[in-house]
Amino acid sequence: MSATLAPAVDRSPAARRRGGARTTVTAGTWRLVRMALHRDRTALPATAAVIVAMVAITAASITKGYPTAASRQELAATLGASPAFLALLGPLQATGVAAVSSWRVGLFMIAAVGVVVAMSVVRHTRKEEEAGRTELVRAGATGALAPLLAAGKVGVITAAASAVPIMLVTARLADGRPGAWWVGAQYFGVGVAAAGLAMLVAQLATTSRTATAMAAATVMVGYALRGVADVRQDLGWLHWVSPIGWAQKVDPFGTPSLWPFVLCLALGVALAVVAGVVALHRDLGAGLIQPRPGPARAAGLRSPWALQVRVHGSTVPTWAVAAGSYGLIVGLILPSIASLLTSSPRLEKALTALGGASGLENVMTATVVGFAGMAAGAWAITVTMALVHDESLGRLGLVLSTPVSRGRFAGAAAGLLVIGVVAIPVVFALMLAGGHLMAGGPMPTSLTDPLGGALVQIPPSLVVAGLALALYGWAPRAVVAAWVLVVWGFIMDIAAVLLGLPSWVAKISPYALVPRVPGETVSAGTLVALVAVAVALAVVGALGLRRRDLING
Amino acid sequence: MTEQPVEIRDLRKRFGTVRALDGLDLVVEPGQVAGFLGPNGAGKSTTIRVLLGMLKPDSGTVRLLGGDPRRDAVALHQRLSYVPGEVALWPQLTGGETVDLLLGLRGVRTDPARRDRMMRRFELNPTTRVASYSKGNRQKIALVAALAADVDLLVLDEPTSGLDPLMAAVFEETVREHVARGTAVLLSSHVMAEVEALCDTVTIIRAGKAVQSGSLEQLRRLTRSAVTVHLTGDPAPLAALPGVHDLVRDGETVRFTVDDDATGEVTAALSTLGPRALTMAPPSLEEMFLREYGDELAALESDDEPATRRGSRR
Repeated sequence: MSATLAPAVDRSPAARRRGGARTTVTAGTWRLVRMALHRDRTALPATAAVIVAMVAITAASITKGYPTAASRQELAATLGASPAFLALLGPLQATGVAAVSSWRVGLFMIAAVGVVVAMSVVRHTRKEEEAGRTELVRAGATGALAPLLAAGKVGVITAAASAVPIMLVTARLADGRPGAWWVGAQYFGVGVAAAGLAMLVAQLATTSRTATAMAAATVMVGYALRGVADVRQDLGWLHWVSPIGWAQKVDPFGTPSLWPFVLCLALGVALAVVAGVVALHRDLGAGLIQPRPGPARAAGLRSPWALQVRVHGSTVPTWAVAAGSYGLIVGLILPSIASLLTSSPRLEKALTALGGASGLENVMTATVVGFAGMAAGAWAITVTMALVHDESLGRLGLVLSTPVSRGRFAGAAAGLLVIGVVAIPVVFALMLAGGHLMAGGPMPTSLTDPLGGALVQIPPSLVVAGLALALYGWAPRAVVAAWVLVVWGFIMDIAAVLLGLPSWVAKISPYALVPRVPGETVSAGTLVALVAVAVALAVVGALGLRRRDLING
Repeated sequence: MTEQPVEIRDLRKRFGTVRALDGLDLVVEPGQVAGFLGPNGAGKSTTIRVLLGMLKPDSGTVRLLGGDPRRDAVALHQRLSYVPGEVALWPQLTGGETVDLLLGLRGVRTDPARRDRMMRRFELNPTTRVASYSKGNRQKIALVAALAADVDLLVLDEPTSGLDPLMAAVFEETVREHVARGTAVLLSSHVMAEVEALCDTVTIIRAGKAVQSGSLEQLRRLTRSAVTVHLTGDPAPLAALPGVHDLVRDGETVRFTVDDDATGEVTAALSTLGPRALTMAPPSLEEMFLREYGDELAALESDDEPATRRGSRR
């Protein structure tokens, strides 16, 4: 084959350089971008689809729940003005369907897109470097900056893949234009800034775990600071310390402004430039944040149980505190709902149907505790997926080559799942209660209400964990399917009634089967039945694990 | 410990349409070191995984230390140590913690001094996190964990593939110490010198089947020794002898190969021809191995379609 080409083209390296082939520090970037997009070909569209679906479903539920302009004005004057919603969602600027839907999914979803973009960039930079693949890539005819630049471009593409469809969905709503452009700019701007942030963090941290955690935490701190700025007028400057605050200042449905968007892009580019400078000056595999040496002896690390706790247990406090911080904020603003009641006669009327101020507090508490339950389910799935990952690398094989039975290993895994599933909602409830008490909530209900709600969330989360274990035992590659229960529960929680779906559709998720506490009465039968289902699923999983071949012994 | 450490008869295992093991026989006798040779994809690791109860055999008999590898896994694993070919450890743990963990999971109460001695012998820093270890150092961690306690059987899957020659020597020495205490060893390897140095018996497998097995002596008897000699006389009578092959003359130097059972007649004939500088080398394991795979090698060298490489169906 080369014989036919050789006469036509001089293929010597020197000729290629003369021919304008790139030998710069960025050589090979687009090849790497194409490769990364090929690897993300299912994950990227799936993530974008979930985000866009959330926006579309919210728009549909707002259209259905608040069909008239008057009802939406009512919403703006009541919930829209409450500090709770100000902190979580920001101020509501207009009362069209598009404005209300954007407000409802709003800033939290923008922050979520930021986290998704940051995770994608870290996956294509530090994670590749950790796995030794960057070494292979750099040994080819690629420039020193090509892997970093390619990951940045993938990050920008990921941001655009969420921003553009959201913009199109918004533009289709009655009052969607011209705000839709600005909504797209909010998502894209934060995405670009997050990509720059992740590019830099990936240069500083030496492990992808640390890099992902740092980038995600930075984005969420930005989200929280702008919430403070919305509630406390005197701290309004906090809007200007993070791209999420800038995105809010783009203000699609109020008085749109281009400058905050430009600021987001400029920050992203600036962070990317700094990341590039660091990348050019550091050794492959090196970073500023090095893992410290650890103990030479293992104290008490002698059982599969101890191993599970040590390796995967650290995720329990991380998830519990992350979810609990949200609980703390909600707790701090709960009492302001009561004060609103006395200040606005219109709100008073709207709340009578809910049972007064305590009724609204109950609804708020039950809803956010429900989210904590779903977080526990999500955690259980990620841990089970990590077990599959361990197995595919041969770590499970090494454990089972010792006198550890498969049943004992499954027991250790189930034990860890139970601890996390209990701890995450309970810590959440305690932190919510703490916030509420600090803000002057009454004893003992400030403590017992969220705690009761958290306890009710445990049985459905156990069912999710049980399903994950059952899949792990029989078809480890299919554990990801357990997400259906959590995602469905989340979507149904905000949309089932409003979309007018039949109740059995909503009840596919175990989260829809438990009463909303505080507020509704608890039937022990349902909870016991759910726990029984969870135990049965876990046993099925253990039996499967005893029978099947390991993925990699 | 009178039972056979490993006894595999007619073992078959498929993955989908791929026949990974196709009627394999493999035996490890008590107190012996059994070498297990074959190219990548021949089925060595699959065999070891079946032996450890991680994969279910489709058919055939597999006995491990007198028990059933799946049913009696826990009891049997108390009596063996395993070093996988591709060592994956937990990146969060340090080297020292990992060794303690693996020993702890086996329920072994090792003398801490012995553990520390092994760590030093393999030049490992116990406080370094596994995430920053190289492949060779991860393998050394698994080796220390396996070799720091006495067991009845060591199952080692290409244990030196990431080690430098110095560490490979330390490994050989440590295995010999275990063998002296009566430990049986199943050693899968690509390193012929290591197998020749350590093993009592050798099994060569190809496409999931044992194509040669026996003691090194027995295998050598089946093949020919290489002879080089300076002769003043005419070598023609030699060439006429049965058992002499491939005779080449280059001035006074004569080279040929001789069947093991014809050695006596050939040396008698040689002594009448005025021999000087006689060397007679038994075949190396490498030569025996290459003989088993000679057709494959020839196919590769003639730049044939790689698909004809029969040993690489997996």
